[in-house]
Amino acid sequence: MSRLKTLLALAARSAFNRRGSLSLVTVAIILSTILLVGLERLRTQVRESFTQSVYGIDLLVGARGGHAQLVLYAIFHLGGATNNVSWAKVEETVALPEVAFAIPLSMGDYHRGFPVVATDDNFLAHYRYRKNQGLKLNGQTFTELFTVVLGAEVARRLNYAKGDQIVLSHGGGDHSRVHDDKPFTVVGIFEPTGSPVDRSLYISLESMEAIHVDWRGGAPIPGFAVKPQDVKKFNLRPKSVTALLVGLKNRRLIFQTQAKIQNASGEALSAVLPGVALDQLFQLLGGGERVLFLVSILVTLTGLLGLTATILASLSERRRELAILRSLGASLRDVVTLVTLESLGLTLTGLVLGLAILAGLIAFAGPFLLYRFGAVLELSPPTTREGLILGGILLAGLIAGLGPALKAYFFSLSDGLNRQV
Amino acid sequence: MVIENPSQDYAVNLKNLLFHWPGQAPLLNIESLAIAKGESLFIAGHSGSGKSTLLNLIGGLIAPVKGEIWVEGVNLKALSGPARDRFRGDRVGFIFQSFNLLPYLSAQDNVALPAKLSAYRRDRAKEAFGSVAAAVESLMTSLDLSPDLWTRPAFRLSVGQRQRVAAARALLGRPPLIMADEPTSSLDADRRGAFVDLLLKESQKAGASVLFVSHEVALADRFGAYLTMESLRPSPKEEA
Repeated sequence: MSRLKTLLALAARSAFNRRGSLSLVTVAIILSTILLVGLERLRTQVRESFTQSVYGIDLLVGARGGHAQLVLYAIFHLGGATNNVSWAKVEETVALPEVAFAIPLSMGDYHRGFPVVATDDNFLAHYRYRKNQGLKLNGQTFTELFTVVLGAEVARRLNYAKGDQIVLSHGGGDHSRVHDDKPFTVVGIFEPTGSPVDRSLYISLESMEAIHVDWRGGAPIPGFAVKPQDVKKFNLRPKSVTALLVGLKNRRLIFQTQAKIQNASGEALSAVLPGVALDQLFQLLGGGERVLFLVSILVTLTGLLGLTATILASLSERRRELAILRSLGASLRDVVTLVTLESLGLTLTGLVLGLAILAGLIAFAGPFLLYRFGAVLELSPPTTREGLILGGILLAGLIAGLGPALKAYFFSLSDGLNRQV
Repeated sequence: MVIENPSQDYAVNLKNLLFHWPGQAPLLNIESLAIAKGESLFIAGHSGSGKSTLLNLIGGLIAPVKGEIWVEGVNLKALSGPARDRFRGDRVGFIFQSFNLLPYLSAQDNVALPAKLSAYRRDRAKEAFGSVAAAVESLMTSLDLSPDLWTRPAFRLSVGQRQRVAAARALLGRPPLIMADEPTSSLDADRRGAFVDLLLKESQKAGASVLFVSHEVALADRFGAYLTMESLRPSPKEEA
């Protein structure tokens, strides 16, 4: 016990004596830790924020068609549906005993390239993204006619604030016709989510009907214009929607309900499991993630090699010191203990500091990244893979320390002590 | 295997010692070499003659290819690795050419180091001086190290002071064998004789045998016995 204390004291004094080069080693470990764990964190969260664009939705329902297409327009509001779902069918689906809630989505209009989504109160009540997070709204919801709520990125990119008036256009192209006779007032802005909500505008289904009362077949009816204050005279009940996001009371009935919806008589519908479809889509589109994965492996290897090299270099200057201790009766175990104490201490210090700095960076820069880039970077306990990376760093530190210790032991004294410098 | 040396009077006794590095020609081939207890022996040899290797063998840091090494009546071959390390720490005081001291420890902490790593030497130091600290102070005083140097970090000592601190460390706890490997070559010519005299005087006081290897033959007449590395090689007749 007192021998261990002696060794600890020697290790501490010796390390303090070499504090210059050791701080460099620690900095190298800190940087490797930040880089390796940070890159891994970014990689997994890119995937997570994509595959959990919607959360708690059990089925996506739309007109019969391709599943990928349904995911694209129902979740990402990209492209369009070939057919709509009639309102009668919507009511039929909502009435199914298995269904807890359904969020109707009606699309087709845009504002300066951003999709406009018409929906109802179910959206605010039930829409969830990544890890069961609900939407946070600054301001009013879109219940009133001609009011619009903006996604965070829309508001930021177009520099809109509550009270601003905007005009929607029919279709996404540059030469689309605009609904300039019925401007919308911005009444609320969603907080950043890192989901497709950020890039969308939300209005009520009734507003969607209202701007189209004097339209037929994608164009204004010539010689027939209805003023905004007069639209309430018309029946604004939606006739159809583009898609339905359905949540079930019991997730175990998911396949049963899917079959029930798809096989129902009348209009042919498709029902898709969003998790599976998003995973498939990510396989297709996630090339960037795979590159990031490759880069993170390369960075891991380079980092560990660099770490080993730095520790090796710092330990070769200890050979003489270890040889002196050998001459004074230090055993192999003593020498290994001494060196291992140091490399373990250094690596652990580097790991802990690296993780702390990374946590600080994420806490500090996370909200900014979400706001500015819609990229999600959150604090959370290390994943298994991150644990493996941390273990790898620790192991590399230990192995790097053991080499010179064994070398110092097995080489003769003449190597360490009588070398002319 | 006999552990007890038939002759307990020898500090070092080598028998039919053969050593070579793997794949190389024999570096040492010593039929017999004995150093009596309390004797001081000077072995002269040029660099590369195997002087340092000889000390490493006797110190148990490397093992011979063939032959027996007895130190203080103990056959090193009979000791396990850790036991050999402990034996060296207990019984042998090493002094080297340079880089003897741990630079981050003070002079007195360097001198006290053997007492921290060896219970045997701690007990012997206490036995003779009452405490390790008293033993350290007494040795440093005897080796002409003034008290203002005691707490100074080793890297701030002059080369001559360092060698005297190294000698004090080798002598602490009165190990029965002092081995010195070219300890004077980093010293000024006029200080070498004085250093050797001091080392021999203190070793004698402690009752230690001294094995001193150096290429500086001029120092040899201060020792009780003198040998050359060449004389340790078997004569061509015997080899034939």
